[in-house]
Amino acid sequence: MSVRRGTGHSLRGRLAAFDDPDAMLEALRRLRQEGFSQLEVYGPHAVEGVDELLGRQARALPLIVVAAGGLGAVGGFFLQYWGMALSYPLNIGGRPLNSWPAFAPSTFELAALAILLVGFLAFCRFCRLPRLYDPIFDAPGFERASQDRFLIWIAEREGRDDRELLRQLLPEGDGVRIDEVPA
Amino acid sequence: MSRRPLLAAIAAALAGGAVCAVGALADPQAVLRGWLASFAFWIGLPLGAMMLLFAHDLTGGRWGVAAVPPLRVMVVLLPLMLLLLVPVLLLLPELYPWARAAEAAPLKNRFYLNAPFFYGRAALYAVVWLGLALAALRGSGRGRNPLAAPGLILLGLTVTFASFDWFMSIEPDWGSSIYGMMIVGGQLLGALALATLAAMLVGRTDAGQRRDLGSLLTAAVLLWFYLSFMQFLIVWQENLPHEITWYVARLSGGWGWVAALGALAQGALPFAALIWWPVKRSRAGLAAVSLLLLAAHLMECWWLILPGLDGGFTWFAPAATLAMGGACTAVLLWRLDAGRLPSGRNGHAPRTAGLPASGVRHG
Repeated sequence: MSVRRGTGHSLRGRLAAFDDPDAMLEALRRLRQEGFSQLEVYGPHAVEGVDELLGRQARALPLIVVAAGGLGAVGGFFLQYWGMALSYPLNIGGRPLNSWPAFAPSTFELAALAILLVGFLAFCRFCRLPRLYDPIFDAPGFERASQDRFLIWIAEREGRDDRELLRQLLPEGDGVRIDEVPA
Repeated sequence: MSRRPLLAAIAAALAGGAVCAVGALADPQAVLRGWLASFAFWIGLPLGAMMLLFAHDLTGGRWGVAAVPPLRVMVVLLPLMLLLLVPVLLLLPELYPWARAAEAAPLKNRFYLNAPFFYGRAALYAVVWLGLALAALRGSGRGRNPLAAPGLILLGLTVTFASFDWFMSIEPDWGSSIYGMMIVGGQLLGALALATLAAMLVGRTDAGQRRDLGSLLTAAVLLWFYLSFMQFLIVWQENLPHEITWYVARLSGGWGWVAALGALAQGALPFAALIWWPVKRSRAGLAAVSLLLLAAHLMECWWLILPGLDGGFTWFAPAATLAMGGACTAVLLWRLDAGRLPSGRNGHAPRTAGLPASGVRHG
């Protein structure tokens, strides 16, 4: 099986399960200090600080959303301007053809629509959705990641036996459980 | 603590006050309209601060750790602010057309706009606000304040009617039901901006608190902009002679530029800055946005009042702003000084001498 960039879930690794997000964060910090770099975190909700520890860069999503909003606003305004002032000029109550205050609500709505649609699609793209299967789903107890557990997946490092090191770093019991994950 | 800031504040108050006093001998109407326009800005700070304190009592949130101490200090200034209204109350006919017999005759709303009822309402607002200020200072910040919810409702009602009375009735034949909430939106924005500025300048804030304050400022900007724009949109769409005159006065000549600048400086610009996270997370960025918002809000208050009165802009407006701001700062520094003395004498003994001091302890 080939190694996929990003997840690397076709690699062998271990899965550490935590009952508590703070314990998970603490363990993640220790793992980073020991030089583990291929890590992935799964949990029922986002935990602040994980992105920094995993070294995730801020993605292009905010910029895409702002650009979509700008385009939606310009397009929305032009749609009304074109309809009311250029294509079918109509005198309504003596107001100017380009009655921009009246265009403002629809301009805003169309900007919001563009942000929502483009943002949602871009978000799915960045999350590698729609992807229906990943080998990590086979790990025992992985479904708890969407319920009440916080999981750290630790890739096996080539040519090294980290079993002893991991046992020290992540003492079992105390709400911590470690499983081997087959490739 | 150095005495220099206190002396500077007293000097500013005296200088502004002297300009207004001398001016009052020559042209009392000009001084009073500048005075009312500045009062609209300064009274908003304690009122907005009370609303934010009650809202924090109800909802909690880590932003309170940074913002509650300066908000409590602003509430302490309420009695002084109320005293500043006295010159306006003494000389109603100078500002309000409904108080002048000749102009009041054709008005249909004289049952509401007449001097005795006006004074009675002003007294009622003062009593309610002072009571709520006590409740805010005693109860807030401890997680349980039974008066928070009723206090917010009372404030919503009284501030709406006070803004109708004191600010909207300078043009007694004009009315807008959004006006009260628009004023409240501006007051929330002003109080939150000043609290954020104070927290950034003196307090220690962590990244989470800064992010929360930035998000709240964004929400306040949006609320104020939404209410202001909706009033404009409705009046502009209807284009009725007795309604649009309010905007004709405020959008013609130089005031039109002031309005455009206000929409930029109190709406678009801070919004664009706050959705950019490097600004929202940094102390300097938040402080700069808060400063911009305060300046723009002051300009908005002048824009709301001055074009509606004969004569328009007057240099007594900045003078009155300086006088009121200097007086507030002086009282503030004096209280802080008084609060510091006991703790300096007996080490870590609890500071009981002043409410601001007890607020500062939280930070």
